[in-house]
Amino acid sequence: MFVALTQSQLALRIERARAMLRHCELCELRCGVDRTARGAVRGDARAGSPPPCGLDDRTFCFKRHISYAEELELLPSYMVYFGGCNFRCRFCVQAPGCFAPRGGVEVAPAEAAHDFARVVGRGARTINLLGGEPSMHLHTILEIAAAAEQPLPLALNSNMYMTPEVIEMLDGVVGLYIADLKFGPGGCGASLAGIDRYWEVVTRNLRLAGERAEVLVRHLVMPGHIECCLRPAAEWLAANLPAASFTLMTGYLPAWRARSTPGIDRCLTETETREAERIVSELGLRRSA
Amino acid sequence: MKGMDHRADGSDEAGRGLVVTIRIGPDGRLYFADIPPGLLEVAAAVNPGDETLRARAALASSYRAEEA
Repeated sequence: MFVALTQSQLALRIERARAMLRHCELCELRCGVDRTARGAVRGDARAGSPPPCGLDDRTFCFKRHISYAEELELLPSYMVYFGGCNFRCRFCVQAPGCFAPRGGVEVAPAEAAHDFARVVGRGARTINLLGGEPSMHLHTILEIAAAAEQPLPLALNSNMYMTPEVIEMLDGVVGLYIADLKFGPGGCGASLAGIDRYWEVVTRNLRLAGERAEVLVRHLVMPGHIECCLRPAAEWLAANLPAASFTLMTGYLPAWRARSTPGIDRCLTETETREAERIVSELGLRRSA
Repeated sequence: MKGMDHRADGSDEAGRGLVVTIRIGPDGRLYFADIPPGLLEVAAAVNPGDETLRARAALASSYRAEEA
């Protein structure tokens, strides 16, 4: 999990990441907004509408703690939540707080690096960057890595909707992608998260991430979405990323706007849970503990 | 982070001040979105048959948290 780049390599990447903020295309929404122009009218450079993330060039952390809820191989895991997200998943358990781009405390990379090193020294096995969507804080992640005296065991818990350049620039910095594969190739990504081209983008990025780091894929089974989402996701993983670890999450409970969304406003039935387990078992996916 | 309070929810490394949501499912199971160190014993007590919780508790003993 520990990876290392030279300071000069990191410095070049930081410079490039900062330049990318001036016309942001860190995620496949590719809104092109200038995130360095604080106080200016925020908007989509092409369409005149504000981007959903609302981020400028700052990173804010709204929550952090050691957790024992993750997969066993990640524990103890230091969970560090960055605010701002490009998705609006109707079932998000961190909503709406995770959408606030400037909630919590502004991250100072040197202090964060010191904090992360401290918890690793105490026994934390992973620094779990999540949110929100942490990949949109590429510049901050690189600056933290550069400020650290030793390589940090960084894990990126991501919706994997980033542009390929982000994965390229995190090569050697992030040792593990904790990747959500939420939806199948149909229209569920659009209807439940407001995201177009979900399947095309996320499967592309899973392949790219798998070429550069360890990948742990999670799928949250949602009621009524086994055939359209779980089955294609599991089949794709078995065929394309067999080395990735897989976590089947069957503890869905309707959160946030799911409570008012017909179809996902209920828990899984026992039948659905058994069916999900059967599909995954038959495909022989490598299960996390 | 060093010298910083997380005023968003007041949480710190040990989970002090963390707001944890615990949901009771229709099957009576308890679902923890987060399990900070202080809740491990609670989670283990309400899920005595859960093998992974024992493993999680063992891992918790390996972490040297700062004293309050």
